[in-house]
This record gives sequence, C-alpha cells and structure tokens, in this order.
Amino acid sequence: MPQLNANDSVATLVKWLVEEGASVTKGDVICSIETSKAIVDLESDFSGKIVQLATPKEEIPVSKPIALIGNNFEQLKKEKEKQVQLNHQDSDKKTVKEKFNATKKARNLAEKLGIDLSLLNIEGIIKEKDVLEFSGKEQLEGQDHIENNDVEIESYVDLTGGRKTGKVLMLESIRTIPQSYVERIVLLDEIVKTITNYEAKKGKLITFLSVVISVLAKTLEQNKRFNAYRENDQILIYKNINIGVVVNQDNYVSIPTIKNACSLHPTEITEELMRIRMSIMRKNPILEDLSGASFMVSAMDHTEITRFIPIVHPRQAATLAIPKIQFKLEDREGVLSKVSYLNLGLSFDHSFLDAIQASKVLNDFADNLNHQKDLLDSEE
Amino acid sequence: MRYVESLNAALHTLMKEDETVLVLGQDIVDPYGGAFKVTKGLSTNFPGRVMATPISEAGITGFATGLAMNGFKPVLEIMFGDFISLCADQIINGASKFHWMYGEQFKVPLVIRTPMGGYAGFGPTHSQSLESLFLAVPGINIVAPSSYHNPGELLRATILGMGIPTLFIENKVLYPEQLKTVDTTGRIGNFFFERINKSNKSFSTVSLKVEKEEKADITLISYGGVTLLAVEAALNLFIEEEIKVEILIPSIIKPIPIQDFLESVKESGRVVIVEEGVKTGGYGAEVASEISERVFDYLEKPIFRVGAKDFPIPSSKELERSFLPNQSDIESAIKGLL
Repeated sequence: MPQLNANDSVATLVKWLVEEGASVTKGDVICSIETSKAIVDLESDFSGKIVQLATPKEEIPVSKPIALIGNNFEQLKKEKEKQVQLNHQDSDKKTVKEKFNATKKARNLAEKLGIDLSLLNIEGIIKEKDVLEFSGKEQLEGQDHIENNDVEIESYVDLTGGRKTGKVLMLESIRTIPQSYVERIVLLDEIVKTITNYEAKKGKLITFLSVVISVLAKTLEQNKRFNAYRENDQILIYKNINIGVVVNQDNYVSIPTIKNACSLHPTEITEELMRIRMSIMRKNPILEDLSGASFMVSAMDHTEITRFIPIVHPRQAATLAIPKIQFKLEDREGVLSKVSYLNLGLSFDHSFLDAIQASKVLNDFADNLNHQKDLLDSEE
Repeated sequence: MRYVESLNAALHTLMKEDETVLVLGQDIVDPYGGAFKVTKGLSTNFPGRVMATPISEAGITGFATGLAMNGFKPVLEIMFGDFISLCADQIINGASKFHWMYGEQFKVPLVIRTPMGGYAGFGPTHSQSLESLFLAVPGINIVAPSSYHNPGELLRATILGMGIPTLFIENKVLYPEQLKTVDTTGRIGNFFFERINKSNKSFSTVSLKVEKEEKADITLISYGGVTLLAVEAALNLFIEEEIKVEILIPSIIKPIPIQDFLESVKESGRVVIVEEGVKTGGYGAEVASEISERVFDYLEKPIFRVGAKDFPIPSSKELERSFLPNQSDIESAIKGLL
C-alpha cells in the first residue's frame, strides 16, 4: 500500500480491477484505493501473474503488501498461505506474551530457582518479589534453594478465596510483627452458672462467646494500646473497638466482626453473631460484617484443643486465644468440687508491647469477667 | 473508539443539541471533511452551520471571536497548529481581553481546535508544538487531551462550560489511537488507572501506576501525544529494572492543575516532566517552578525536563526523531534521578 497522502497512515482498498491469477503487465491498473483525499487507480510496478493478499473495503496500513506478482503462480499461492500463517502466529505470540508478563529480575530469579512462571497466579506483571513469595523464601541472599526433586507430588491444589487472603495476611504478619505469648488460667464456674441462670430467668439467649467479647471490649478500653498497631515509630490507636471472631468451620474461615463492642449488651452481641452467621450460611454475607476488626479473638472452644498460640493479624496489636473449657477437681473448704476453667492465651506484638502489659490485659479480663457476672446476676 | 472518532462524535452530538454551536475552518466541508477528518459529516448533517473559510487565519479568528461575542459558540479549526502564530494577535490583543476591556458586557466562548506535534516527517512548519507560547497569555485556557482521556467529553466540556477563549490542542499522533479503556481490575494494560480531580472537576488528571499500593520511585508529568512514549518508557523501566514510575497526564495545561500533581510529588520526591515542545520557556519550566514553590522540601533531586531541542524540526523522519523527545531520552532522565 503506497503512501499517497502525507496525513494518512492507512488507505482503503476499494476494489480489484484484475482477477486472482490474471496476467498483468507493468503499468496496468490493478486496483483502486481510497486515501483521505481521493480515490486513486493503482498501477502495477511489475509484470506477471497476480495473487491478492487484501480484500475490498479493507483498511490497510501504508507499506503493507496487498498483492504478490510473479511468473510461478503455484509458488505465489504457497507464499500467500505462508503470509496468512505468519499473521496468525503473530497474534498467538501476543497472547502468550501477555500471559506470562514478568520483569527481567523476576525472570532471572525464576530461572535461578527453577520456577515455572506460568504457575504464579498473578494479575499484571510478575515481579521479583512475587517469585520470592512463591518460592517461600524471605530473602534473596544467604539461602540456597533446597532441591526436593526426590519427593513426588501427587496433585496441586490452588489456594483461593479466604485461604488465599489468609496466606497473604499470615505471611505479612510473620514479616512485620515479632510475636510473643502469655497465658493464665481463668476460672469459669461462676460465669457458666450465671449464663445458664440468665437464660432461664430472662428467656433470652446468651452465649459464652458473646460474654467473652463483651468483657474483652471493656478490657481493651482499659488497655488502649492493645486496640492499636505500630507503624514505623508510631503507635496508631483505633478509635472504635471492633472485635473480630475467627471461626473455622468446614475448611472455611470467616471473621464475623462486632462493631463498637463496648456499647453492646452480651445478649445483643449474641443476636449480632447469630445474624452474621446466618448470612454466611445463606451464602449472602455483607462485607462490612466480615471486615474492619481492630482486635481478633480466635475461638477453638468447640474443639478438644486445650492450648494454642494464635498469630497476630497485620495492623493489630494482639490476639486472644479461647481454647476448650476444661474441668478439674478443687478442694473448697474441705469439699471436692468440679471446677471449669480454660487456658486464656494472648499473642501480642512485642515490638511495642511487653509481657507485663500483656499479663495485665489477661488479669483485667479475669476481673472484668467477675464483674460482668455480677452485672448479669443483678439484672432484673 | 479512536481519538478522532471521539472528537467527531462529540461535535455531531453537540451541534444537534445546541444550535449556537458553529464549526469553522479550512477544507472542513464534506466530502473531504477536514485534513484529519475531525469535522467529517458535519457539513452534511448541519448545512449552514459549518463554514469553509479562506486561508486567512487572522481573519477567521477575528470572525469567530465576533460570533462568540454575539451569542454563538464557534469552534474554529486551524488545520495545523503551527499557524496559530497567525491567530496570535487576534487571541492576545483581542479575544482574551474583550470581556474585560468592554466592562464584562459579554463572554467570549471561542474554542480554537488545532492539531500540534511531529513524528510524522511533515517538516519544520507542520510539526511543532507551540501551545506553550500561550502559557503567558492571561485570559485564555489550554486543553490538551491524551488517549487516556475521553477527548470528545473534554471537547464538549470546553465548548459548553469554559466560557473564555480556549485552545483545544489535538496531538496528531493521537488521531488514529484507540482510546484506552479500563478493565475489570481497574487497569489499562499493565497500569492501574486513577482519575485525580483536585484542581478541576471536568478536566481531570490521569494517574497510571504499575504498582497500586506501593509508592512510586518517580513522578512523571506529561501531556498530549508524547504520553505514548512516556508510558512505553515507564513500562520498559519496570520490566528491565523494576523502577516504579507514576505517570500523571493532565487534560488541561493552562491553568496548570498543580494540586493534582503535588501528592505524588511529595511521595516520590523525584519529578520528570516530558513535553513535545521545546524545553526552553516551555510547559515543563512552568510546572517545575510551581512544584518548587510549593513542595520544595519534599524534593530529593532537582526536577528534570525532557523536551524538544532548541532547533527547527528537520524534515527527515530519522533526524526529526533525534530532535524531538524519544523513549530513550525519557528513560535516561528517569534513571538519572535515581
């Protein structure tokens, strides 16, 4: 396609004036083309048989071939097929390139570690950081790649949804928060009794977990630095106390969050938790109910686990661990009684909190639990 | 949709909606429909409201100014921006001042559309980017959409909403460009797309970033056709060296939407300004001064400008490429600041 008008980068083939395979001589008009200014007859620069590469009404970039002219018609036809194939390959190549778009650093590292970039499920351009993360390495240097070729892989399972988000959060937590843990025994006898009585007395449902959340909210109000997080050299204290409860059911993690937990009565918290849980079961949860926590409780009281150490969430100060409620026999003024208790644990960010502060939180929690019991008992 | 189609469609819609919109210019009547086809079909659809004018830029600018003063919304096409020099007196001593000279009795909603820019081998007098000459003229605005904006929408906002004489600069290399569309992940190609409207609601600045959450190493400010090179350079530097560039593309260049730039500048502390016009006395010089006056304390390095060399643009395409800013100029400027 010749450039007949300086302003045009394309021109349109109007129609062919010779048949496919016809013999043309130099100077013959072979087709008409339309530029932005005029329709022009195009003369052949060569003599021979003609094979058309373009179709009428097609817009063709300037300098792209529109026909082949030569003496060997069969050879010309083969050449045409080749051109068509080449065009196809070009578009194929493009899609492959888009699929595994990666930076040079990422490609080099992947090659070094023997990682197939197509396994990384990343939107956009793959970076060195993504390859590192995929390989499970924390740092570039000082760690050699461990060859594990002897162990056969049975199958691959992709991390998706909440599990994938969880991975990102847990890795970030380990990278950014030096974590420590304290634990104490909390006796539960009195409160369990109170809860049972309350239900009988008021006819309103109240769960152990909602009492924990209510008591915890009060405790956090007294220990504001635990309703906070650290960024560089600053502690950022959250305005509201929003308590998220990590519930792990049937391989599905969700975090119902009680907003402004201080202002709610345990019965209201119970209702709120049930509402959120129902919405999850109906697979119709509201995003707001599952996000925005300033503090997390990890609840394993429905299992047989008597002690566990949770990981602190990124941009939080600590996480409370509620394991299984246990029983022991205790000598009370000469009488052996069955006493229920649990090992209340607290993981915390040791970069700005210490173990003394953390034990104070657990002690305050135990005191507030007794106080809550009194409050519930005195309600008419 | 292509850049030229967007402008053409906007003019069609606007002429249908508003009878006071008139289109004037050289060779704009069908079947030719204008040198770059922005006005194609208008004379057929709106006979009597599209005027083919003589080749007399000063005369037609004065004529259009008069129309604007008398209740019309004239859209004047100057076929090549290089000849805006012939309109200069009418703009500088006329259109831009009449509103004030005559006691604010009327407005002058004159829009002058004109293509600028090179890279096409059109030689020294058909390839320049002269819009920066008019930065020093009070009383006018200058709009210059890229293919990351919606040029039709901006033309509409200019004709209907500006109310003062406005130069609407269309860079020639953009005419055949497909307008960029944002995908479901909020990206255009490899870049996260964001609109910044701190300075002007109708004329937003586009921000393009390879990494959405992370802070950019460099803030690159560029407008018009040369943005295509800036985007290529930014992508290449990311692929080759993981350098993170935030590209800011204003749609209006006078007044400068400075508030749209400052947040990114404060974050990166390093600024490159790329323009197609000559560097001396250019857009970059003005933006650099505005930034220095406001956020000097945040700057880690001097602000660097990339522009055309102070020399007439050669006719040879090869030579032209080395006189106008090219991708490697932009890449070296960025690397020089790191």
